[in-house]
Amino acid sequence: MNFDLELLSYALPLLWTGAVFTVQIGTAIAILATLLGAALSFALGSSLPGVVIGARSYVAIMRGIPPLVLVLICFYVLPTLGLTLSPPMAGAAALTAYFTAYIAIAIRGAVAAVAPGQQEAAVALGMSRAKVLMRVVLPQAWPIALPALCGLLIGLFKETALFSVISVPELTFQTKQAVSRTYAPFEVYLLAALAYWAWSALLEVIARGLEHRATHFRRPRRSAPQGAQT
Amino acid sequence: MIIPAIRTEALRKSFDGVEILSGIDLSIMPGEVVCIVGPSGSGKSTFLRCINRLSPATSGHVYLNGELFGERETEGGVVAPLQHFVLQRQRQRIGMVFQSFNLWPHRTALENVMEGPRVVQGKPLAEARLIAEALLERVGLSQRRDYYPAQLSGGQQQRVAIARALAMKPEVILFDEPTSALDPELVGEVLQVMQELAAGDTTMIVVTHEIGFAVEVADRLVLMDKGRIVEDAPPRQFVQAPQQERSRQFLQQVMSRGMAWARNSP
Repeated sequence: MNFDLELLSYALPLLWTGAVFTVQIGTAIAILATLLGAALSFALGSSLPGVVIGARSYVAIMRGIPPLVLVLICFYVLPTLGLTLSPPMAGAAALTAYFTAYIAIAIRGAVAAVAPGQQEAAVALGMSRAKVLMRVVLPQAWPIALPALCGLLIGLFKETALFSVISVPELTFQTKQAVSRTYAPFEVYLLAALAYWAWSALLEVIARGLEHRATHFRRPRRSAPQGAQT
Repeated sequence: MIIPAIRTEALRKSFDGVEILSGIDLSIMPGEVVCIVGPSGSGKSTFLRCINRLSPATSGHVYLNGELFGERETEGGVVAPLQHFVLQRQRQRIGMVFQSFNLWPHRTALENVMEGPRVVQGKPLAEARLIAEALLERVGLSQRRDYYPAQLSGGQQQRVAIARALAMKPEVILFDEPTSALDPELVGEVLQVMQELAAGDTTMIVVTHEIGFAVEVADRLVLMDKGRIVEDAPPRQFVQAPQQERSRQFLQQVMSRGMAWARNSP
């Protein structure tokens, strides 16, 4: 099996448009799911029992359904309920709904992991609830949530491959197109896998950088004068 | 007549039906230093937390310089809880120092101290900075102002926490076992800062296990047991001629612990 350059010149443009679409739709879903997930995490920690029950039920449902089934439901079932979505919209809706639940749990867990004494110190000082959240809780929840959030968002891009079953022109769909026209599955799928890996690796590097910055206050000083002054 | 800085009236607190405080009446005069001692579980810390309503009392009232704290009187004389923002403003007048310091780890020592004046009181940045720098100087930590809490020893962290409480210029400071989480050799530096405060005109309520410190620094020593005040006396009188059997018992236990320590230490 040898690599055919002409084959590449045919497949590459197709794969490129697919890859660009994957990045675009994945980014859109990531932003939406993060915003909605943050909102849902507040609902999970609400003091109103009804709100908490609603939020928990939503999370339980989303955790129990395979994302592929959600994509199919959004594309094939919603129209019968009077909501017809284009393939990209249906796919984006499904994965947004799915990842919103997971992101909400990650944020909720991180907020709950901030020691209660941290808030007490601020409350005892007379700080308002909003400021306690913005200045004490969230800055400390951020480094805790970050690894989980980054893992979820990187995974999200790979899950967009599911959209190929409803003919969304993303990377996997375009790869299948290219394979069916070139009859060279080995080379083309290898290229697609490489593209997914490269994008994930890039995000991984960015994630590590963010995590490093977010935890700067936990590290010892580099040039601490040893016991010179108290 | 002098109005007490803090006066509690029949303060009771129950958790899940278990009574932790069984009616505490205590007055602390301006400038007075009151040390509260007693066995674990006697309700000392709960009492402090009820004063600034970190955990509101089940019944009873707190007065801060004569003003009802965290509650308000309505026409029928019924006392209703205050709106949250009013309570926030009242809380600014009571400082608190915690057993576990509770410094904000993502802020430097200076930022921790500045937070109150700047964010809670809304003072300009430069003014808040001056206040914080002066206070860090006062607790002997000028050189450490740009360190994060994780880069400071426990004793240093607690001194920063004391500076943070002082930055609000509170009318009273509550100390909740401020040295209990410290390595023995770091206790002294914190007690020294507190002693300097006590020598000034700071009004302090100190829950502590450091009997020696309490005897030396306090104007009054209060023994709590099972949610009640057992004895409330000037420290010399408390130690030399306790009125209650329970106080004698407590002193004996504390002293024998000290002796056991003295015997076993090199």
